[in-house]
Amino acid sequence: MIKPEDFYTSNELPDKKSTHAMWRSIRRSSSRNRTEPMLVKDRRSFLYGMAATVLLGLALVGAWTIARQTFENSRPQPLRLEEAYVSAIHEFERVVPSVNVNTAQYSRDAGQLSQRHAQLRLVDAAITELRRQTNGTDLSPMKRERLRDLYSKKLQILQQMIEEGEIEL
Amino acid sequence: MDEEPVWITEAKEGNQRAFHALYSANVTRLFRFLRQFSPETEHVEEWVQRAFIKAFEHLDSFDGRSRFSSWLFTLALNEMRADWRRTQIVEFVPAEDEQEDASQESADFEWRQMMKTWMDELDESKRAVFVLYEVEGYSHAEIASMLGIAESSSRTYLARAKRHLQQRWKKETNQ
Repeated sequence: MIKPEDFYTSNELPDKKSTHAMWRSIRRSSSRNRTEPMLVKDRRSFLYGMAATVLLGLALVGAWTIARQTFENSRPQPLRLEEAYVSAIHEFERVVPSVNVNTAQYSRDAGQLSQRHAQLRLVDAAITELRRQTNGTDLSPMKRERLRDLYSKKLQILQQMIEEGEIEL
Repeated sequence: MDEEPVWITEAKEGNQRAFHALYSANVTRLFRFLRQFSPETEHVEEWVQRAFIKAFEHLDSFDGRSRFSSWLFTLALNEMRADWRRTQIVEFVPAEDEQEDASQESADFEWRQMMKTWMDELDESKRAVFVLYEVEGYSHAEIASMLGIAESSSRTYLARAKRHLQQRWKKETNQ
């Protein structure tokens, strides 16, 4: 027989820390709820996995932001201008409570109001048609110019309606 | 007084303290033995944990006819072998020419500290039998049961392991 102390070296023996860590894992894994064992190694892998996921997520968000900015900056000036118009009009329409005001209150100007509504509808229809034709990518200067005019016209009509009290703010 | 049977009875009833006592009494022996088969502490810790978890979960099937440590070593060896199978590493196999070497077990074998460095030259079967018999003090019957080999194979492996170590010693010291 060989004495264990003559055979094993100190680095072949478990230290206190690992003995405790192993016991904690065993106790957790073999408790009455008998869930799937989660060993020290599993927990370490889980933490590494979580950290890697967070880092990957941040990297993806960063990459997506940069790509989007690059894409936005690479778009032609007319397209960006058109989008600015559309956005401004949408924002304007959103903050204006309602264009369908009580016409009885303005019976005197009912005809004029009705006319402006008709103008707005025509301008909207013309914008929709022109946008359909340009399909968002047609950079024909004439069409772009026409579209800008229509946007400008719509804004003017809305401005007039506000100034003359046809729209309540 | 050997408290192990009491701990086993109490652990079977779900007493965590008794199981901890069994753990404390055996963890070092098991760890240092398994350490002979992997330089990776993580692997050894995992085998140890899996063996104890299995022991706790199947404690009812332990009939007490063998030593608890012997049963625990069997579970641990099974876990280790399961990993070996997954990673295509060798497995304990019955010894060939069992009768030839079984009688040659060298009685005059003397352990020298330098021999530890040559343990890696022994295949897993010989290394396991040598450590279990010579260091941990298990009988050939117990070792055979643990490794799933015949008792005669265990004797053969031991004889071959000793012979190899002695030959290396002689070569090293020019005897």
